Amino acid sequence: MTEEVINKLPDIFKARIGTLKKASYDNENHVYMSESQMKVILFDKIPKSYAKNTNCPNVPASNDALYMSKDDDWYFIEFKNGSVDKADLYRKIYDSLIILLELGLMPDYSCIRGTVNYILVYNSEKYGKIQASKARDMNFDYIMRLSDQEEQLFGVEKFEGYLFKTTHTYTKRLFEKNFVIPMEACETSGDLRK
Amino acid sequence: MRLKIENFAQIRYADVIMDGITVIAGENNTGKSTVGKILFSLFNATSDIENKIISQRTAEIRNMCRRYLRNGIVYESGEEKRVWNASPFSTATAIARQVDNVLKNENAEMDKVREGVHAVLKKAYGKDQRNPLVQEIENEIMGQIEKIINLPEYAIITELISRYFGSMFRSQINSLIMPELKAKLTLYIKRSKNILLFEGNICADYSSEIDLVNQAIYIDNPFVIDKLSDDYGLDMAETYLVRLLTRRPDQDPMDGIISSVLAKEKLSEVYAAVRSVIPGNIVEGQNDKYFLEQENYKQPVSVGSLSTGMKSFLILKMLIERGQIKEKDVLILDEPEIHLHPQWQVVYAELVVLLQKYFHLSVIVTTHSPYFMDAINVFSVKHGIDQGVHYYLSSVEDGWAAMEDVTDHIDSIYKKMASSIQVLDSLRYELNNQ
Repeated sequence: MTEEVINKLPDIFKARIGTLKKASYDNENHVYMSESQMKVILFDKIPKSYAKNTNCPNVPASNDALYMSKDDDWYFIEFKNGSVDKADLYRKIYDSLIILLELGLMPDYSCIRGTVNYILVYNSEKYGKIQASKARDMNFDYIMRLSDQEEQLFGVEKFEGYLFKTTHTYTKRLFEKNFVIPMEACETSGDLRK
Repeated sequence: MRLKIENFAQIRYADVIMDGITVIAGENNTGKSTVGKILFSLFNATSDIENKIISQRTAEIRNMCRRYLRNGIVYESGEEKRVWNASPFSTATAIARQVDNVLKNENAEMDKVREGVHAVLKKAYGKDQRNPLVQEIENEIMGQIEKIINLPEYAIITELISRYFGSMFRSQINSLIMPELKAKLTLYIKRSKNILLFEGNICADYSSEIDLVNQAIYIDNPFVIDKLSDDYGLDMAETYLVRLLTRRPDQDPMDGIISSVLAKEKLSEVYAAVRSVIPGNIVEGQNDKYFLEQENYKQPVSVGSLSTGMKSFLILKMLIERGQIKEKDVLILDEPEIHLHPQWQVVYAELVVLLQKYFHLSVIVTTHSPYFMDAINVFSVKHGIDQGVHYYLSSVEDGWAAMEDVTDHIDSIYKKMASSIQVLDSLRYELNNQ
């Protein structure tokens, strides 16, 4: 996020700015899923402050990061380096949106649908029980390309147009290609224009 | 050409354009094959309808004559004795042929029928021609023939249509959800139309502004190749196909050499595509058995022993080489990719595109394969026929099937096909991370 965007943020967010790399840290395996130095809101730190402020006995779940582009497109980013529990994933989505509403950062769901996007970044390089096959991936990619749609896993696409403007599930490589590089370029070009 | 379908079987409404190749995709049990079955029944029941009516009448006359002539036995001095020399079968056939000749003539008159029938019977009676019983039989036969000839055409046509559709749809033509609704089919060719109405699973009305002249060929199951010498147990479409595959060319082998050379030049691309999968010639052996002669084999291979994929190609090869596909015919292919590896799906698709191009066919093809569909798309552009290719997506809502024209956004077909990839990849991820 550019300084300009950060400056406009409410204090609760300003206090939680960090790099995308930091947001992508996997505590269990001690690895980062992104090396990007782009600034994001470390959103998983927000629920604690939120619970404290609202006297809520339980801390809500939340996505890992929130990124706001210069064009005022918001992106929730969730990093998953291991198993994906759909119930857990969905709860993080719901709780994160409730926090946005409760804090008054979004007036209603209609505004959320028009502004907020969702990206799940997962690790596709792990192979356990199922044999890896590059050729199978090629076949599947070919069909996905024909259908002119992005592959989305874990049923995340159900939220597109309902709670989010767009939803995506990216491998680390696709996340770099489809999100990090374009956003970094956008931030830099903006600086140059200034 | 356009086919509008209303309340027919599972289909609530469909309006399908057939200008070249019409691709119908969609999940199972969404009415995809219904369109092809309708076209098969509609074309084959009503094309060349006048001759069909005559054939129906003469077939009935032949059966009736057989019955009468078989019973035509005179008792003389307590001994059973036939009063004529000829057999009831050949006499009945000769009578039917006489009637057929007269009816096919533009000035068909009852007197001419009488003369013809009398001449046949006279020849058959021999010395017994004055026997009163023989006279009586002749009178009865003549009365029956007159009745059959005077049967209104319309009644025969609707019966013919009912039989065709009844056989293809196992007598379930009207909707099972709302059986009281009339099923309606409208076939538009240029500015004219033919309409068929069905009530209680039979044809209730038929009106035609167009005389259909082309046939429809329905190819579904490559195993018909195993039934070329014995078509027992086949359905109507399969029987029709087997007859085409085994029909010998009627012309003198020296006839039409010029047109054959022209066709070969025109069809060189088609032959090349077929040869890439099946090099070699089909030869007929004893007992109506068919064999494939190939260079590497010392003996020809029985077509029944070929792989199922090859049988799919063999059907097209035989139809083309035997001249059974005619200009502007309707070719219906029901999931042709089923037994084919993606490589051959691509070859088959190009063959279909080329056949459409050179024979100006109306091809209706249903598919579940992204490879096959993509190949139809790509080759139709390569061979310059893409303007005539239309895509439909079938789906079911509240038990009714509908066809959406998705020619401008074919990715919606691929989306359906790709949905299973997301399910599998999600599951793979979960299993790998357990």
